[in-house]
Amino acid sequence: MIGLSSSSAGVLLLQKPGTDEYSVLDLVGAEKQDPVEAKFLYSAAQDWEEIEGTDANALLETATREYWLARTVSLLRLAIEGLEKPLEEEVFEHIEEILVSRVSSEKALDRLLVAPLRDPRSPLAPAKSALSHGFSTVASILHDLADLQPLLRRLTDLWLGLAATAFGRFSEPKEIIWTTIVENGELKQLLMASNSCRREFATKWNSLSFHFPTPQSRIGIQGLGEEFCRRLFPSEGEGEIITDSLTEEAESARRDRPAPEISDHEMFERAKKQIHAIAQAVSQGSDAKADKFLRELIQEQTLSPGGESYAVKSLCNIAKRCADMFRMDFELICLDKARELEPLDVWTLIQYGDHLKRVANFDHALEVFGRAERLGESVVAKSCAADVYSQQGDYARAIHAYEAIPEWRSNPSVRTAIADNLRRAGRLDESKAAYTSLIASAQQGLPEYAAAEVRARVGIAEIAKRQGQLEDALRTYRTILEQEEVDDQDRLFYRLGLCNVLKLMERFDEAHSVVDEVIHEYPFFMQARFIRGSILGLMDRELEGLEDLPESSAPRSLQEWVRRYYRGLLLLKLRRYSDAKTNLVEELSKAIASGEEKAILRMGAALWFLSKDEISEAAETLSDIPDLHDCHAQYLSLVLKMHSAALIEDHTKMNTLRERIAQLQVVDAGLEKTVAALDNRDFSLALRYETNALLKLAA
Amino acid sequence: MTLPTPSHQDTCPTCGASLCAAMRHCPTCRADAGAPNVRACRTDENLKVLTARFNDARTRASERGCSKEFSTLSDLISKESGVVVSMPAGVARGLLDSPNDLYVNYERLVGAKARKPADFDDDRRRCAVAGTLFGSYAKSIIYGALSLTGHGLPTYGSVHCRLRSVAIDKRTSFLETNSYRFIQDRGIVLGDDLPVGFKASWEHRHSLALAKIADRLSTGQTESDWQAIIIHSDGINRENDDFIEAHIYEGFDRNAIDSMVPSTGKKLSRDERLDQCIAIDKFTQLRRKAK
Repeated sequence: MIGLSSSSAGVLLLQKPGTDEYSVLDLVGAEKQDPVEAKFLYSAAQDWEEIEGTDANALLETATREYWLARTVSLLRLAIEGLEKPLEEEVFEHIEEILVSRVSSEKALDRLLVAPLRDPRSPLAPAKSALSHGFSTVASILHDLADLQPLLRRLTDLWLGLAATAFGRFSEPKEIIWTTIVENGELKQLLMASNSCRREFATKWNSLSFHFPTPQSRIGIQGLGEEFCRRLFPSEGEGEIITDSLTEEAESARRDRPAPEISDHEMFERAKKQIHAIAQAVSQGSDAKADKFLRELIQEQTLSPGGESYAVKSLCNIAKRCADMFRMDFELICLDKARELEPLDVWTLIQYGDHLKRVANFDHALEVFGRAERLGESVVAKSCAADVYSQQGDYARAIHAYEAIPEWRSNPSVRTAIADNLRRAGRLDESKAAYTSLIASAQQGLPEYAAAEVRARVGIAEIAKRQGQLEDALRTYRTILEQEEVDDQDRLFYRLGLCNVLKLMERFDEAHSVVDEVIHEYPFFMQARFIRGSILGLMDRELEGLEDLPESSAPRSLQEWVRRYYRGLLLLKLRRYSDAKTNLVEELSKAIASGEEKAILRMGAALWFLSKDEISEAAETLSDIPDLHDCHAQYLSLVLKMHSAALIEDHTKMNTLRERIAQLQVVDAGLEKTVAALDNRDFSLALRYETNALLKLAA
Repeated sequence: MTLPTPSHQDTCPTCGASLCAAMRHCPTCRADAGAPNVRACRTDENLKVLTARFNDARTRASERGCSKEFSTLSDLISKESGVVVSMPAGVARGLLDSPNDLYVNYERLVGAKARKPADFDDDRRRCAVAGTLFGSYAKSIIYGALSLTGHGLPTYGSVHCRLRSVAIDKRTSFLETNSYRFIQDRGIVLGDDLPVGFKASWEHRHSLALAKIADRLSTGQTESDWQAIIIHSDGINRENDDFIEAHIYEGFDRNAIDSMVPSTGKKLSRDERLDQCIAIDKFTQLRRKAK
């Protein structure tokens, strides 16, 4: 049966069986309307839709659902544009009611993602207002909408930049294809996948095929997906379209265009502006614009003899900015281009090696740093190689490598790195002494130590956190963040450091607010999202938390394990044991993690075994955990071991562990209660406290 | 006293080619010949009869000692009257939500495929009204009412939108009464010729209004009395409405709205009331921004 519905008019035309005649049905009251009066109905010009259903009731249900969805989206859009305060509250209340009973919030959000907002932060004020009135579902949609703007802008920019030939297989116009994607494609999930990995994105994208009627258009959709994958994940695939096109255009421009007569200073000033514009475009996800500006910059800089070296410097500058905003895809594009222009430029190699380190391609990174060292940049290359050892968890080797750098004692960066590695290795006293010495050097007025002093104070705050002195750690972070001279990139990490201290102190609202701000400023920074996911889990908002921790099949990289670890814990809280196992147990052998990180992962896996009463597996996993230097982690590991002993009623072992635990400082009151719960054999309560304690770790 | 039906032929003012009365653009030179509903009002025959009716009305008013009122009202309608489209609050809210959407009438949305509503009698009635008056361009007509103020007919919706004259004056025509009643009262069926002198283009709307209401003028009447005569509605039953129907060729967007006011004294559901408040709030904001 066929029906015609219009959401803006709020009517459904139902075809009478066996005839071409229609009756007009009002969607709100489900009442038949006088067709004569129907001529006075008005509706939006483009919202007439033919729908199919088994019978009149099915059609009415579909049309009514669509009507309420359209109404919700319209009201949300109007609220974003701004309403008078009393009216705003009433509108939020109405939307919240619709979302409870008639429309899924995911659908409403997906519809709002039809195009990027002019002001990406515009949903934040109404979100705050909605939350202050207790309309949390509305607030959550608006918040997510703001959150997703950079990802949406990047995707739509790529979409608009696709050549007409990419749509050759479709009979529908480009706009209709996009509308179909928006209406059927779970856009939020698609955008999250676009910030995850190639496989994830391809899977989501290809599921869109089902919504296209012809085999040709289905092939077309898959082709578009491949094109997107190449552009979104240049380091994961074989083709690097943007880089190729840059090369061709730059080469042809160099051949064909005469060099303009402008002074070096003018060129420098212009390049500065272009670099700023490119960085801004990348930060907003406007990749097409960034591509265009990048091409222009390279064309202009390579016109004059020797201009390649200027272009390389610009590219490295942009790459650094991209890395700072966690746009590693665009960073790689810039670095590849720079390497093409000047394959032996040592700074390009060092930046490239650093990129490889961050994506956990350690062997290749060491090889590149080795090349840079042979080209004459020995100190920096050695230091970078030492960073790689540190990331691999081989702190002793890292410290050895740092100390092999000539005159390392007078190099504040190297001394800071050594102090950091001592801390990570658990040599807390030595580490603290090293930091204190750095601070002393700074206080002697040595200007090169100014930045190192802040880093040293952060290091001491981290030691205080490990030793359970949370107030001290909190105070230090707050003091540092009040200093105006702290570099933005460093400030970002200090804010996350603060957030982790707040998490341990169970000041979850504050922690959430800190990390939330970070995400708005650095929307592509997945690490911050992982932390927010864990905080939401601690606030018993597991489903929301999982949205920040999407499933990923990306190649393993640094910190990738954190996503799976937190995800597993949230799934465990939701009693989705099978999915939790995938993330907590199966991940254990695959994760790129080391030292204490590995111990944390083991505790996560052990918790899963404990939750399923798989006692021997739990005991075996826990036996691999050494004594830990972080007092919260140590406390937790002993509690888990006690849990394992309690399950088999090994009272001797329980007593030994209880005595050891009693000697430790209590950081987490929940864990203290866990001991009592285990004594009472209340394993369910113990599991709850243990899961929360694990969520406070791994930051 | 008959008017050419929409199937009659006009001549293109630019190239002289023959032009169907229902078409706006010349098929030969693509010149804009003007909205077909307006062209239908500007025929010599219609203007002649309309002018005669207006003059008769003035004579009768004068005989009753209402010359001054007649002349004042004539001026008022020429200078101050406009078209008010009344619509459900949800539609008004939607109109304010989407800056690019042109609002169009039911028939255009439904299109040829669905232009066959349920009951044959109803269908025939509806087709008889729109088809008889406008032929194939019936789907392009938006209905409103002539008004001296920002208020329209509450029976058609709880939000009254007065449209900016500049946005509609070249594509709006007027019929002396509700088109359905006009056809029904005169027993007109599809294919019949239409009586002339009962339609007017924008510049002659005062003639049409006064030809209709002159006999209801009395001395000492004010503007609000005349508004009540021009638009009469009990707010409940459309059959009791009496007004001068405006026909706007093609749709309009939110920028065409000059004022938006709520309908008073009408009981609304909570959703409708909310939509009404939102529409008026957004419209006020837009006006503030525009200034």
